[in-house]
Amino acid sequence: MRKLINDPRKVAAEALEGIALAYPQYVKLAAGAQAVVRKDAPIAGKVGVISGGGSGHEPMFAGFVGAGMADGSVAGNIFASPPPQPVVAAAQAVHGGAGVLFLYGNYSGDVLNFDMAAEMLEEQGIQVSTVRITDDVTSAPSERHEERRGIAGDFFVIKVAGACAERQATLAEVTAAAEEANRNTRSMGVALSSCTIPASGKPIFDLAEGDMEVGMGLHGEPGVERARLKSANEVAEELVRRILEDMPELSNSEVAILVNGLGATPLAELFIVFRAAHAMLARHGVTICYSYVGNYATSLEMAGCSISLLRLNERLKHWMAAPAQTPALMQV
Amino acid sequence: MLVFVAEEIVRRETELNALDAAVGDGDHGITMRIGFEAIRDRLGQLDPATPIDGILRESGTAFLGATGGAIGVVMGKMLLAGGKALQGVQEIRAPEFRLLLTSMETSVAATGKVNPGDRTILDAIHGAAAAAAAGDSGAKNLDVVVHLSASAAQEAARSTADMLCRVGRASRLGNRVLGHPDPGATSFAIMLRAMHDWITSPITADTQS
Repeated sequence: MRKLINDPRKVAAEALEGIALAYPQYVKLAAGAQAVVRKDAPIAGKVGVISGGGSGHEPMFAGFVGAGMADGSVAGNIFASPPPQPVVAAAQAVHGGAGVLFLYGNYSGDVLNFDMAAEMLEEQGIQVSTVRITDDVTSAPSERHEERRGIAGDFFVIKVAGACAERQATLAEVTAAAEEANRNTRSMGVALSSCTIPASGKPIFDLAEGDMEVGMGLHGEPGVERARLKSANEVAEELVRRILEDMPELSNSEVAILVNGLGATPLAELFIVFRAAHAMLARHGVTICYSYVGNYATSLEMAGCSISLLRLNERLKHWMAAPAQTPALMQV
Repeated sequence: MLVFVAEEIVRRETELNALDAAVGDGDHGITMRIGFEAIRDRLGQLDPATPIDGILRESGTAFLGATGGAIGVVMGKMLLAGGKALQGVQEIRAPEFRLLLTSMETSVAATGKVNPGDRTILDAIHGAAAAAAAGDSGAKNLDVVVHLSASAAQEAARSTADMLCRVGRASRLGNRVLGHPDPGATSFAIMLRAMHDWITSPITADTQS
């Protein structure tokens, strides 16, 4: 294990503290330093958007807290959902009287802990609604899409819900916007190397040099196929092809695209993947309206990438175009 | 007794991580260690006169608050349910132990929305509770009942290696889980075995928690 850390048990906490110290113009620590909330929270009359999940995916989720995106995010240990108490505390810290929306990837740990937090908040008279993000096409067949897990597509859902909430929309409206974004988002990833959870010190899976795992999840969940590594063009085309097969109505539509790095893949390679995806999408009549390339939802030091597409309509376009000021997304 | 169980779980962190690495991301031992360290620390601060239900409730709250993950809610609520079931109980004997296991089984099934055979911690609890209940007529002594249920839990944990997983992250693995016992079920078996060792140890007769 070659990591720049102090104590394997304190990685999640110290990383979160670092984000808060680096970006005091956007965020501050809350919930006993297990969450960050936007600097000006709570905002009277505004729906509080809370995201969160296990750590190890930086900048997701804390990097997307700020004006125009989430009001707060709660950080669990590496790859483990946070317990209910800090979720409750973060929700209280952003509650401006208009209720709270929980946004998180669909994993059983997150579901159990956030649901318990929602119950506790409702006992206190704070209204909570929940949208679980289910963008990963390889994690369950499309007829069981509600079982799918959430990966980098979280970014689009947080962006849309945050932009909607910023306009003082109601909890029902912000929830509907998040659901619409989730329904129209599809993602798929490929891993080229494993990663090591600091406290265990061992890679979470083995992947031979020169192999890739197509469809692998953000915590090393096996994908659909293990194969010899192919060229960037072939890999990008396979990811886009499977996404288009899953959501045929993407063809001839307008989209936002995120080419996301898993942690160890250089930006140059992500741009090469973007270039190939761009060409493939053009062949299917897809118009790219918004592009994002970079490390948005990582898996510690895993090498590889994922492609996420958000099929746009006028409403979603409007929310994607809205400004955002957060540690990991600055959009004017 | 729970402090002893906590130390046993902490001691076996690496083994539990290795089990989890075969079917997940390899951190089950870390999570259990964090949870049981929180229990040990909380119990260390408790008034020694705290009754059994209070000890279980404090343990559940400590575990739930410390770990996160699915196991945090499942284990936390399980211990809270055990505390509720044993309200007002002064001493755990065989009938109270049966009641404890039954309440834990009900809690875990409801929290995790799982059934026996789904390859989860519930399989070990279910096995233990069934063995304890079967020993109803004969086994009157706590150490015998705990021994029977610990053995049954261990056997049930072993048999999860032949089961497919329906819930949680490991469910995405399909038949790749076969041959590997479920880490959560194994943890529960270790807890019961530690309880048995504590009960039958000659040096523990004068301590309660």
